[in-house]
Amino acid sequence: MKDEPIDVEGVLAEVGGVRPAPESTRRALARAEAALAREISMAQRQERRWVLPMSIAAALIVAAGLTASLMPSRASAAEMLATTIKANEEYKGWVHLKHGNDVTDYLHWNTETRISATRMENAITHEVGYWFANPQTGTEYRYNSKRSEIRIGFLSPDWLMRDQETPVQFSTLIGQLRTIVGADAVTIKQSTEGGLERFDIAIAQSKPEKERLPEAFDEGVGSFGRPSTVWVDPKTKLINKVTAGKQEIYLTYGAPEITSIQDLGAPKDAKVVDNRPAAEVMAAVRRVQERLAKPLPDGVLVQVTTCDGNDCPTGLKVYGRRGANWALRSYPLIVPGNTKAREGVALPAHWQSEGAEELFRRLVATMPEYERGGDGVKAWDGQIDAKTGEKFITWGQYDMDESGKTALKSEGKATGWQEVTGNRAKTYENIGSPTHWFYPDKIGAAYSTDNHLDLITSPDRPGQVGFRALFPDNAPGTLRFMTQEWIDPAHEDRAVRFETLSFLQSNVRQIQYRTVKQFGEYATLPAPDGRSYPTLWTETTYDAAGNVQGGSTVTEVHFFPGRRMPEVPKKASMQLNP
Amino acid sequence: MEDGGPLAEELVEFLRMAGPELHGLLVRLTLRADLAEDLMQELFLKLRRSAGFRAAVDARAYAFRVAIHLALDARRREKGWAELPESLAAEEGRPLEGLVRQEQAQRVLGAVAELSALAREAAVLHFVEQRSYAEAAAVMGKTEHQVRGLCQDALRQLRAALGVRCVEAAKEVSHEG
Repeated sequence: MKDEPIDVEGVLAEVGGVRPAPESTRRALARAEAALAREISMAQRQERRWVLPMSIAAALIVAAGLTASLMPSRASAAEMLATTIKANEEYKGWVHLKHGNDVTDYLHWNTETRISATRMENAITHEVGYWFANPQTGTEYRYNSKRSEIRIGFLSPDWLMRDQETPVQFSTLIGQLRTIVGADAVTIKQSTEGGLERFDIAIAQSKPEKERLPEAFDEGVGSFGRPSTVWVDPKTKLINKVTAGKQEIYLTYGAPEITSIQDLGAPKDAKVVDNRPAAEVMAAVRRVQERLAKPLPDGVLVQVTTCDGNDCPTGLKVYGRRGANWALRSYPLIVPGNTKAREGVALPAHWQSEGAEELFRRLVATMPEYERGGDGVKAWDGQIDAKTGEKFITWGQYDMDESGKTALKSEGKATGWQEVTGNRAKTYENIGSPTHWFYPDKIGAAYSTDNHLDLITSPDRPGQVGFRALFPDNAPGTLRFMTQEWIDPAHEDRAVRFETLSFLQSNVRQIQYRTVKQFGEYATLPAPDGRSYPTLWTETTYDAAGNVQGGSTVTEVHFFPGRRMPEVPKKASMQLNP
Repeated sequence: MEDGGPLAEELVEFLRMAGPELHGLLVRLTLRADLAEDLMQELFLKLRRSAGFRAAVDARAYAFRVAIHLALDARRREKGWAELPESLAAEEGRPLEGLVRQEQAQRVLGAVAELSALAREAAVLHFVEQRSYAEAAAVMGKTEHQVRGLCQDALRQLRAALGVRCVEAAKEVSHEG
């Protein structure tokens, strides 16, 4: 191969001339949009609530961390760190955080009432959004300049739980900050400027010194870039201003109080849309959410997805639980006639019954592609190179800093597992649970400020109820999505049929695609759980003309009570094996 | 923007606006229509979760850089792929079958995937996407001079990795951006 001269530039230029077919692009966009919709729907109630407290915490960490790093000597730096952290932790009242002089994004929070408020401007569309959350009333308010209306919704119990966790997060992160005190690679210069204590921080540029920087130094400031200067009020010891990367962060304390979304700037005459569902709807939501949150009994559940067409995903997932330990793995599935699959698990006949031992034997011999797991305290996930056992962090590694550093895996190194703790680990556990396959997964997103959720019935579906969720677009009267998730209350709210309608370019009369998930057969989890759960369902996407896109996926599920997860090849070095 | 509300809407809008361009990039770097479609999903899910994307001054540039690494990492993970799928051969516009040096293209892109992160970006933006040094610099947040240097280094490494003969390696790098 090396004998052949290659015109590298010419070949790359030729590659540059490759263009995808319009149909391929259209399909790619539709699939990406559908994936976004699914993910946003599932995680909306959880992750959205997470961002604000984390942003605040991260900002404080930056500020506190800087102060800690900028001391003229290591002893005084440690003292100043303790003083500054204590002052910020003990502060009672409103804190206001602003990004930059020209930027008009604000974060406000009250350390006593836990009310949070934000003003943010979309960097792409320049829309302005306000968000006001009052945990004491369990209510949130949202305003967007494009749609010019205030929408009201409920805060989820999950958000309230996390909101209360914020001080804990802060304390945990403060502990991380202490690791950078006296770091060899940090040089600090202290001065006075405008009545404030100014600290300039410099990071060693040589590679060996930079490598000695504690990891926590970068972890806490990832969203802002590395801190360079911090200003502290000498009287209060509270952080006044921080520069980090290319950003300037200003912090003030006390007035003004934010008591409503109008205090943030939302027009007082803006139309108000109250999207809080009725009490009976919320009662049904909470009942289903409790079922969804209840973990499976000890044992292993196997999910096999095949495609009855030529263009839909296939795969094999194995979920195991034993006590607090759990793991969800994904294996490549060899489907007869599919020449693409090079390695994977070929399903034995009757894998749910007499073929089960053979299935588990084959699983033991196959490297999984992915694992998410936990032990009740922490959780982790990662992708695995099926050939080498090399582990990759699956996401969150593409946040580039100003130096252009990207994922470690781009350097070709195994990066181990991404680990999380606390309530975030609980979120991993919840999202990883197969119960998300069995119960409506759109309702968690559907009672927020932006969407509308109600319960419907139909004479064609006696005894069943449906959660109907409308996901509006920005323009009044238009929808992005509409979902109907039918359940059977007489059988532990088991799933019957989920349907999603996506509308083309915000035109409610033009359906872009329709996805139908039809559940068929059912089984019952062993006592004392006793929940009825689906063991077979199909999922089909139709285009606007009603044509099936790619084919229907057929998913079969079987639960093996008391069974242990299959062992994995040593190279992957799984952390636990429930 | 916090997740779920404005960010969700913003991302969908961004997908509709920049999606075709990003998809084209993914197709070129993978030379596989099926994989590019999968990566489009992965790309936007990553962007949704990315604090860096939320904070990026130039969202399109940020997405471009993430897409480059996503596609080339996928190529690294699946070094074994070589055969071009039939679906791609039927592409319109510039059919892949019209890509005269298909095997060489796979080899060169495989070598690009082994470059350092910055060299990857520079090589893809300049040599594949045919961006000028100034345009590539704007996407990467670098100076034009830095990008020129990165491109030269990338070219040198690619030639070394591909065992290009001296006569080829001696070819003058004279792009003027």
